[in-house]
Amino acid sequence: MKALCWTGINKLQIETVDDPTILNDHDVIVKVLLSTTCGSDLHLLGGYVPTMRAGDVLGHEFIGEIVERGPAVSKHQLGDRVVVCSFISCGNCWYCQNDLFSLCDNGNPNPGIPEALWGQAPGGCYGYSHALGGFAGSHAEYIRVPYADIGAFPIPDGVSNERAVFASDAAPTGWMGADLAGVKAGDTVAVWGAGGVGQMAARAAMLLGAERVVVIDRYPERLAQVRDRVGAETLDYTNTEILPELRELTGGRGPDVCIEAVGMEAHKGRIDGVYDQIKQQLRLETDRPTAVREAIMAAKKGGSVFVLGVFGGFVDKFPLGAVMNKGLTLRSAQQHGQRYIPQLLERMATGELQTEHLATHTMPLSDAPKGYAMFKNKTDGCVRAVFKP
Amino acid sequence: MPKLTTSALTIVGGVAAALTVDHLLQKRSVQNKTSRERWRAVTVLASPDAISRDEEYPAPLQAVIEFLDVRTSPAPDGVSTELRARLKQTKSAEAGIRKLTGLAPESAIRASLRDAKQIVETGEVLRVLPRPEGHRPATPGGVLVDLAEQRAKG
Ligand SMILES: NC(=O)c1ccc[n+]([C@@H]2O[C@H](COP(=O)([O-])OP(=O)(O)OC[C@H]3O[C@@H](n4cnc5c(N)ncnc54)[C@H](O)[C@@H]3O)[C@@H](O)[C@H]2O)c1
Ligand SMILES: [Zn+2]
Ligand SMILES: [Zn+2]
Repeated sequence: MKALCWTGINKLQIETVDDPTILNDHDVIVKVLLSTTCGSDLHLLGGYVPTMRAGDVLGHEFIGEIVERGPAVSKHQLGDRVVVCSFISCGNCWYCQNDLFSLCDNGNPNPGIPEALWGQAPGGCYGYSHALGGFAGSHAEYIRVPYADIGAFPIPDGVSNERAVFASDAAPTGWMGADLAGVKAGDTVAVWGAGGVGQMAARAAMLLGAERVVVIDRYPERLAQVRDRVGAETLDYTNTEILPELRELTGGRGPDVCIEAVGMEAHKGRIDGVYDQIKQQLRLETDRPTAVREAIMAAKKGGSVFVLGVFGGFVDKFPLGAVMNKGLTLRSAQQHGQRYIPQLLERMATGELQTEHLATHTMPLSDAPKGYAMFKNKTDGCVRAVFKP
Repeated sequence: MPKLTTSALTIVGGVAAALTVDHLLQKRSVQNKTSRERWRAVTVLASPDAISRDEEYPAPLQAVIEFLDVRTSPAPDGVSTELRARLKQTKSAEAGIRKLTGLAPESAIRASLRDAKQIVETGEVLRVLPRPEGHRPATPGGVLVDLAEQRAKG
């Protein structure tokens, strides 16, 4: 079959690879209908996440049709149209049983690698380096889905492919940020990053009852989507001083909840951004935490900060003093999609949650290298490039 | 690719340096255990009876059991069980487990514990190979990742 392979830093190529096969009894094989780029891929593409291997098939956010079924699969039939959670979780370990699916003890066949990096291993993820299991990704004609009864969900009739595909990763990620940060009625929520993840976090905050939601970015077309499609307010950090602006907006308090949806490649621009860029290039700092710092400085006393953006290693100039002295709650996670996908699909069916505007560029899989170039450089208003195998 | 290698090495190197410092500090305060003496453990969401039936452990652990001391004890949560193993403190155990598994003893122990836990919790050991993959050139960075993956259960 054809698949999009990572072949080196900032290098991608369509290659012919073997078809996947059923390897475990709980597996299904899914014929991919749509598979989208995600901001996390950019960290992989750029070599910021170690343990990528030339020949790795990328892609983790996808929907498809079940074409083969392992003997232990009970919830799915051949022909079912399903959305698959990007994280691979067994459903039976302590973490899965406690709704912390991305921390699954059994979903990552390479736990020794993350243990060396982070002390303990998270679960696995499709197309997301060998540290997260070395699974083949979804930018391909077919993909093997382990633990299919846990990770695959039938898409309700009436929900389009273009809407459903974001229930795989961006929507549950954003929802988790707002939910686990404790957004409640009356809150003011600030979100850094107006990509797919930030937009979904903003929408989730609104649906969870936030009084006011403000999204921060610099791309006018993304900020326009936030206003027109999500219904939240926006700030452009290239022409607004974010901290004083947020204080002014919140009667001097700062937002109750700050959600960071930017990650380790945050833009420079300010002094600390330049500092981080240089240190990251010299490999003295692995990640650039510009938006995390700002979120912590902005947050209200006693407020909470949720880091949705992906980080891989170490950061400098982390404002621990602000965390401590302001009594902040700092939380983070890879997404626990299995916990949220069923309700998100319902909300998609009622129209409460709309996502298809994120798919600004849909194209054949053969154009995926071009799609990634647009997504990486944010050209032509690209929010997400979505591939049709 | 060289960039990846450097970044991988920097991260792994940085963590290793931190761990060494940590290790040295611990050495001073705690009675140092040798790797051989240390128990490796996993916590299984199951009762002790589900882990060993008539003294028989799940196959991946049972396969190396002649070289190991194995214990189970209830975890503090009252539901899970801590399953732990270490090399038998005999001369032949180390050579025996190496010969049988082709792995360093600690790696073999960790892998067998993890696989045993998976069998109890999910009924099978999750596989990833063979997988669809493109051309795998033998670059230095690539070789490093392959090596890391080969040892990634241990
Ligand atoms: N936790 C999870 O499970 C999970 C899941 C999916 C994605 N992610 C991560 O979420 C992050 C966002 O993903 P995405 O798909 O939306 O990516 P994206 O690249 O489309 O969007 C990131 C946005 O952040 C903006 N940005 C950069 N620097 C900023 C700054 N200093 N202040 C405010 N905005 C800034 C960019 O302009 C861009 O619009 C990535 O780090 C990704 O890896 C995490
Ligand atoms: Zn993602
Ligand atoms: Zn699990």
